[in-house]
Amino acid sequence: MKKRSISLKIRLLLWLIIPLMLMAVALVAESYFSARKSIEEIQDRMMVALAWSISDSVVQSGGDLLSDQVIELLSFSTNEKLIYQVIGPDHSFITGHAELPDPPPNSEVSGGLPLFYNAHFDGVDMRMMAIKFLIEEEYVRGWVQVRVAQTLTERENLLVKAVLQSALRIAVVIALASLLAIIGVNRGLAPLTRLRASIQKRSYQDLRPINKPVPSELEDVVLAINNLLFRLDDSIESQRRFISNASHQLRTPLAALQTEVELALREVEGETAQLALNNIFHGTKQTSRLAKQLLSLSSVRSNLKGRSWNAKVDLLALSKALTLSWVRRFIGSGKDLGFESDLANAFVTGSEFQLREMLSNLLENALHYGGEVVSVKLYNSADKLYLEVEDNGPGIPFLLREKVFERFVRLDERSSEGCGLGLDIAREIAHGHDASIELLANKIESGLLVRVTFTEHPTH
Amino acid sequence: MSKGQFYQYDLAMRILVVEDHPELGRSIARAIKQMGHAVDLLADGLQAKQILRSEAYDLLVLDLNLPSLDGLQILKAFRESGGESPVLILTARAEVEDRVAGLDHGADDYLTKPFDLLEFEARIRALLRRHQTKRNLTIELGELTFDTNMRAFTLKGENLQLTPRERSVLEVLIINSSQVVPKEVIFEKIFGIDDEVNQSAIEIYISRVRKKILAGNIKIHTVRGLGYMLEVV
Repeated sequence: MKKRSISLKIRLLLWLIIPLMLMAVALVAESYFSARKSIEEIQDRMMVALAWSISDSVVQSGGDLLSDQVIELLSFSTNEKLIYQVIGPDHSFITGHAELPDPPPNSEVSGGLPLFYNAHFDGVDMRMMAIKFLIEEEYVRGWVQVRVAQTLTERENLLVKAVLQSALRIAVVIALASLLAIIGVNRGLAPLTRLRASIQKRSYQDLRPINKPVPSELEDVVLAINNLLFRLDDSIESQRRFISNASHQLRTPLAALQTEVELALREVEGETAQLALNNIFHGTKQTSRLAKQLLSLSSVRSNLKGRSWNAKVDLLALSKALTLSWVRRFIGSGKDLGFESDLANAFVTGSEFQLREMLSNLLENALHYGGEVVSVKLYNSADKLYLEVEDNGPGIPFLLREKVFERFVRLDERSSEGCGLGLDIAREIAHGHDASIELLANKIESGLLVRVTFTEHPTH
Repeated sequence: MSKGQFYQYDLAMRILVVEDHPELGRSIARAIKQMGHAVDLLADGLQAKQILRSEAYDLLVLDLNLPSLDGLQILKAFRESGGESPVLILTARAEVEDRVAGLDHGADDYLTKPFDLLEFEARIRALLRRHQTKRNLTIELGELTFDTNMRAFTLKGENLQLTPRERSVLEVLIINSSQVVPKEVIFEKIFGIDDEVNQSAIEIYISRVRKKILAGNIKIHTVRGLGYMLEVV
């Protein structure tokens, strides 16, 4: 298998969707950091407010512990567990929890400004804040430090919620964008697909330039293909013309030779001379046939025939007329050539000339190698049309049937006039008409049945 | 030719062969001579055109590829000047376009080179016979004779009694003898367009005619699925 490069469609999609994904990841990360910052700020401000409330309550109560109701009220506003500590100006413990961690050693709690820090306390990570208030009361005077510790559950919950929400939004946007990208890429590549289809649809004999409007990016490609087609056409055509000319040139001298030998056979007497003339006669006929078939082959190949390629051909009229002309040629030879069909007409699309050549070659084979009785049959069933040439001759063994389609293969080397091109030509023409050709055993007697099966294309 | 003037079928005819390949031309001429006809052989197209202005021929054998003037041009000029003799085209091109072109220009038949001499002779005979029929002549085939003027058949010199439809059948067969006459052609000859009969009805008339000509050395040969042919046994 040839190594294939990545398809254009996949390339485009990768280039569109991978950056989209990266952008999505960046957006989610950004939303994580910004949400965390906002949440921290809000919660921290709340802690400052809490500290104010605590200090007020402590002052009012004259230094007592806060009541459970107050604690609950304070916790409710932040949804976190709250621990506090109030320390007097002389570093004496006033109230609250006795063992809250101190601020980091190199920091200083100053008046009015909150100092935030993180600490590990009671087995969990906590956010802590210390702030000093100046209190002028009879039992305490000076800077009172209030420390507040808060668990981190609510912060985390809020963060998860915020990030999930924005991630979901981004995911929806990305999915929509990817879908649009896929549709867009398919739409965008449609001209390419159409171009491919129009090339695929072509018959192998059709070497006309591609004449379809294509986007500017494809114009150069089409131009290059057309150029190649043109050169190919040219070289095939000149080759064909050479064969055609060569066989034309051969035909007139061959006709002279054949006529002369036939006359001589009538006029010259003597057994040896007759034998020699007979050999010359058969050699001439074989050469004649080769020349005819070479010409036929080159004409079949000819794309000049393109102009008559899409004609509607009545296969019934054609095969009837052709069989008649072959009957004419074999008058007096003892051959029984017949035609059988119940059809009123049998239209196929293609080249009349080529179809005639195909049947000619099949008939020639049957009449030369087959038996005395040769029949041409035309019938249809379902959407198939069958053209058969049947003889009662020796037939062809099953294992050799594929071999006889090969060029210059003859089963009986002694037979005088064959050159082994007939079936090859017939097959080439059949395939050019989307028809299949097969060799079968004649069911009734011995002999060969050549069947050409046409599929009827109503819209072809 | 005035009406009522009878020619024997085997009477020698004058045939012009225009073929530029010297050996082929000579061989053809020799073959025609052996058939008992007079032959003029030319190799040049222009020369042929000029000769056709002054000389009358019963049949023309024309090669398509000729120096100075090709076969089709000769044929066209011949027909335009009122020439009615049958023309057999010889061509080295088998392409259908050439065939059609030949017949469009008024050729009566064509043969692609190389051809069998027997076939060539059969075509010549058939063309001459058809031509004779047009000119009110008597046609002979073996022991059967047809007077085209009287539309009467004689077998071994005796008058052959036929019904009108039987006569139509035998007539179309003898005019085209040694050729396959398609069933459709016979059908058109014996039945009108309005007659609602099956094509197989022809077989009845064929078998009746067969019985009537049994005594002679001619017979109607059936070509399966295609038609019938009258030939000498």
